[in-house]
Amino acid sequence: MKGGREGMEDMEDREGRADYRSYLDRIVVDEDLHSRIMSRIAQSSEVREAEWAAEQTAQAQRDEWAVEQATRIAQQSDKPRAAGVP
Amino acid sequence: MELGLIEDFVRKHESRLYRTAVAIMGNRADAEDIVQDAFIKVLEKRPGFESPEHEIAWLIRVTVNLCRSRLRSKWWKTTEPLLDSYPARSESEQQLMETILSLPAKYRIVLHLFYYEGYSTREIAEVTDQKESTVRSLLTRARQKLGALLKEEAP
Repeated sequence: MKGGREGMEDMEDREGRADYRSYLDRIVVDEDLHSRIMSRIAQSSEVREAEWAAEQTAQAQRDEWAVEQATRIAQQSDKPRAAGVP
Repeated sequence: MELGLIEDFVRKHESRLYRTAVAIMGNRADAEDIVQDAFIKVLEKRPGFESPEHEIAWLIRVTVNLCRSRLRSKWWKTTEPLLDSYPARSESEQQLMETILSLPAKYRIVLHLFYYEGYSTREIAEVTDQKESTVRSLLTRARQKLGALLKEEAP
C-alpha cells in the first residue's frame, strides 16, 4: 500500500479495489455448503410435490362431490311429483 | 428440471451469489440461507433467460432482494463476524473490509455491484429497482463515507 492507509482513501484507489476483490475472491462455496444447498433444494421440491399432490387430491374430492350433488339433483327432478304439489 | 441439470446450474452460480450475499449481509449464516432461497426461487419460477448475462443479473437481483428483505425483517442471524469466518490476509485488507462492513447495507450493495461485479450505474439501477440517479448518489456517498472512515482510522 502506498503510504499505508492513505493509499486506500476510497475504492477508486486501485489497491483498495484489489484488496476488496482479493478478499471476496477467497469466499467460495465449499463442498459442505454445496451439499446443504442441494439438500435444501431437494427438500423444497419434495414439499412442493407434496403440496401439489395434496391439491390434486383435494380437487379430485371436490370434483367427486360436485358429481354426486349433480346426480342427486338430477335423480330428484326425475321423481314423479306428489299430487297437489305444484 | 432434472436433478443433474439443477446441480450444474447451482455449481455454476453458487459462489457468485454467496459472495454477493456475504458482502451485503456481512456474515456467512445469513448468506447461506439467502443463497438457498435464491435457488429455490429460480426453480419455482423457472424464468426463461435471454443470455448468460441476463441469467446472472436475474440471480443477483433475487439475491439482493432477499438480502434487503432479511435486513428489514430484523431476525437475521448475524452470528459470527465475517472477518472471523474469513480472516483478512493483510492489515490493509482488514481495515478496508472492517470499514466497508461498517457502512449501511444500501452502500455495500452498490459498492459490491460496481467494484466487484463491474456493473455500470445503469445496470445497478436495473438490478436493484432504483433510479440511476439514486444509484449514482449512493455510490458517491458510499465513496465519501468510506474515505472519511478510513481517514478517521488512520494513525
